[in-house]
Amino acid sequence: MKLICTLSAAAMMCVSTLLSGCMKWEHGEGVHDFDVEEGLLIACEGNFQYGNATLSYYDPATRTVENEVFLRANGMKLGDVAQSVTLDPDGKRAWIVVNNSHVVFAIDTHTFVERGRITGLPSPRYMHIVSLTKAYITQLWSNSIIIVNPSNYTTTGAITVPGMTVQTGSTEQMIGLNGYVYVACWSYQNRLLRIDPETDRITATLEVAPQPRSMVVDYQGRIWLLCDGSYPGQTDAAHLQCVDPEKMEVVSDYQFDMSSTPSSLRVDPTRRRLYWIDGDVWEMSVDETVLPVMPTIGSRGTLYYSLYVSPVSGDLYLADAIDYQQPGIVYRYSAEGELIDEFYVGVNPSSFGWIGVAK
Amino acid sequence: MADVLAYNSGIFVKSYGRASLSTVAFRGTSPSHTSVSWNGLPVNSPMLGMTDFSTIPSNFVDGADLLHGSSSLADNSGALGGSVKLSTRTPDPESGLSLGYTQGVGSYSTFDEYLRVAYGGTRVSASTRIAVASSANDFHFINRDKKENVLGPDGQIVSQYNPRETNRSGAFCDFNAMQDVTVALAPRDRLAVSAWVTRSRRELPLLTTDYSSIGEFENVRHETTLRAVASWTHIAGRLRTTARGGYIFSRLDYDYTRALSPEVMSQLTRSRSRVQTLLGQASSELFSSDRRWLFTAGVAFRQHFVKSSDRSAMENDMVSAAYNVGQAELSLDASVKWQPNSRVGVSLILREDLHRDTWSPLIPALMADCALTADGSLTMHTSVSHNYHYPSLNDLYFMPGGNPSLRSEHGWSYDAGLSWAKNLSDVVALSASATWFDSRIDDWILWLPTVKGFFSPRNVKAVHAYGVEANVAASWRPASEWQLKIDSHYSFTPSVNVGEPMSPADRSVGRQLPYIPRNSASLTASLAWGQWILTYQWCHYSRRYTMSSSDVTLSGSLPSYFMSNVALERRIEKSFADMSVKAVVNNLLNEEYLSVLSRPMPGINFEIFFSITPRW
Repeated sequence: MKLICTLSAAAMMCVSTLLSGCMKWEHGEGVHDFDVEEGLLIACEGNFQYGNATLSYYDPATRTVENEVFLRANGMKLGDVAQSVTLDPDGKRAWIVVNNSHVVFAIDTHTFVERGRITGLPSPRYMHIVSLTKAYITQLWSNSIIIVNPSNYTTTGAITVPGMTVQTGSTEQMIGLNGYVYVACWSYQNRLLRIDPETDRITATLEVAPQPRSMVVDYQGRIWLLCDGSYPGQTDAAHLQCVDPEKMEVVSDYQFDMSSTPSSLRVDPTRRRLYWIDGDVWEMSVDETVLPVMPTIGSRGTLYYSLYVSPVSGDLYLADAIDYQQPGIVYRYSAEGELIDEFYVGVNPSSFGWIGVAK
Repeated sequence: MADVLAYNSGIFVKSYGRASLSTVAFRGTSPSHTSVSWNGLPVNSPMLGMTDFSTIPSNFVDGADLLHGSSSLADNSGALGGSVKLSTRTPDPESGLSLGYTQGVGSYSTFDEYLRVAYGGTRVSASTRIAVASSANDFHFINRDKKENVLGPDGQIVSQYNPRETNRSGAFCDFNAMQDVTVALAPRDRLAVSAWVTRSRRELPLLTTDYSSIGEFENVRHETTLRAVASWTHIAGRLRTTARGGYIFSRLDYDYTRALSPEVMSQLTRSRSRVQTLLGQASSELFSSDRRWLFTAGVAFRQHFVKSSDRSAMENDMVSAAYNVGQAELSLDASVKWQPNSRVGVSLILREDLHRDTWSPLIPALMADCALTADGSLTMHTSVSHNYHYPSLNDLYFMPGGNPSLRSEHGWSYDAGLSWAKNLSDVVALSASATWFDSRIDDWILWLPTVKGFFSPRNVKAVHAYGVEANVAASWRPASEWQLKIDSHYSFTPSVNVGEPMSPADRSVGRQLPYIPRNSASLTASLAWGQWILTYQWCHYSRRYTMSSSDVTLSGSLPSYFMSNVALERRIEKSFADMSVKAVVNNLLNEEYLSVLSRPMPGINFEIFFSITPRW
């Protein structure tokens, strides 16, 4: 009897300890009601296969930041590797492409609440809104660009890119210009495509430097491409190239040193000044004929990961990934290079979108 | 094997899911700092540096020794945390022919079959084991990371809910066979030969944040591994000499296929690796005539041949995206153990490694133990060592990203502790131990992204890992048919980044490393009554951070959890056979938990095992 009592007491202690110690799921059901008007959306990639991508919002007027706004507004995770942010032309919805979750979320830009989602995407990278009923989504490891209907979140077709294998296929950033959509073909590629969105056909192809990744349009309507350069089997330096979109020809070509790894090409609101990251932050007039020799903002042991220029104020938002394993920090500089603010966001802040202004 | 370690030791087991990658780590170090051997052969993948314990069937292990900290240097260098020595044995001489078969059936269409045929003769003993494990592994779970939309007539979202999902792409089928033969060549000569073959097909489960549907992808890993080792032992008076030769072949194929459209499936990744390792080893032990001194010396040689490739690169003749290397390693060791009296022992180990054409600095370990009481029930032990862990072959050569200029991780380790064990009476036995440890590891290797879009390893951190390991065990036999056994472990393992900040905003300095819990505990209790055995297992891990800054965010840290299993076994003895039936309940309290971010884990699940050992 004594034994049974002892065992029973021990068992009860164990059970009570266990029941009180169950893991609490921390993002739960509760959702936060946001109501914002203008500011900066920052998509933070997170770490590959961690599923810890997040979305942050920064209010430049009050200099306040809200992190994990997607999760707090919707009670679910954003996913694995948030790749890009695209705004509707009317600014009402933001489209967050989450690459390794194979999904694109549309969220309300005032409340961050989900409005819809597009699934069934093999490896989405960027989205470009063509019209109320048509948008393109580029992909990595694919030779096709997916056509979707943003009004009902359905896939309606695909554009197959000729001369591109699936294993090394890649279409990346897009811009709309003069009624066409221009697409940079990045990983293992060296082409710029011109697509007629009326017919969804590729009407012109231009060979450029290896791995064109980011691009902008200057005040003359020319396209500037920043190309990574070499990839396995292809040895070349990075290039900055200017393309005449009408003639589809490279009109100027600037080659970097072999040691340079430039990224995140951006343009200021006047579309006269280019910015990019190459260890430091560099700046160049679109009318200049040589690459700059002195950086605009120097590295301070920082690991600059992405760059954004406010389309309203021209302020620079410069993200430092630090060690890629902790919340990154965003430095806000004036166009004159004066540090205005700094704030922590999510892991690996990589892409931005401005809420409050129509494109 | 991962579960055995989780519930019976204080070391941290990190699991990517049921039948998925499971690694173990000692004393706040990383999984690659745990050295694993089987009958003297290294089990760690020379490419990856770590060991997947989920691929080791527990019934293929007859002995498992956990060597914490400095004590691992007796066998090899590189185990900054510790080492796990697995061994198999043949039956005792003249035990005759025996056979055992176990059939297991469990939740999620899980089947386990295990057969062992053994023979113990006068000069020759042999054991043959075969194990097959398979499962659809399609457990259900509430996905807290996702929500499904409920749409109104106009297509607008009217509500959302966390879906109940099935673990997708988790099926596995593992086949293992092992042959052990021991031959007594002469009264003082013994030859042992062992071979172990593994073939497995495992699907890799989707993340909880993946919106892919079944049919849109295939994510499969195939492994074929052969390990073979022959050991010869000769005893001549006070001299014992052992020579060992081994061969390991491992083929690892990984295929990732996605649907580009409903009609077109495309193979995006076709990774192939082939690893061959040759091992030669010789050692001698010599006792002094008064048995107070023991001298050992050894030499070990390993040669790795690795071919690693990726089809997407090969198709385009981008041969630089594959690597094909051979690497030789040589290790020399000498040690002396001195026991001046029955209560004190001191040992000194010196090692020297040749790795990639470079000799390591001298690797020393000094250990001492002392019985504090005359009956030896209370002992004290202490050690100090300096150890080196070499980069894995992927660290050095992987394409893209391998970094041939990596330095070895290295550091000093200290520990000291007390152990107490006593039979208080004929019915009660107690034991307890506690060890304090302190290690500082420099040039810690981490794989970090590069601006080129791939990852590359770098020597980035200095780590201070310290803490306490404790163990309490008790045995109580209140009546002839009753026995209660309890074995509990606790580890307090702060593992702190003490390197320089990587940038002005770096908040990782002074913080706990990701995926290392500060507190872990386990307990196994078994109550035997006659032919019945009730076993209860419990383990606990405190919060694990996934960020180097130890931030606790909604999406970036893993709350602590408790896990418990219970098993009830009934033994049945008949004239023709010994049998047993065992029912197991895993995750007894149906806990929703995560070991790794976004990797689903099963809720309560059940297994039943039937074992039979015929009597001849």
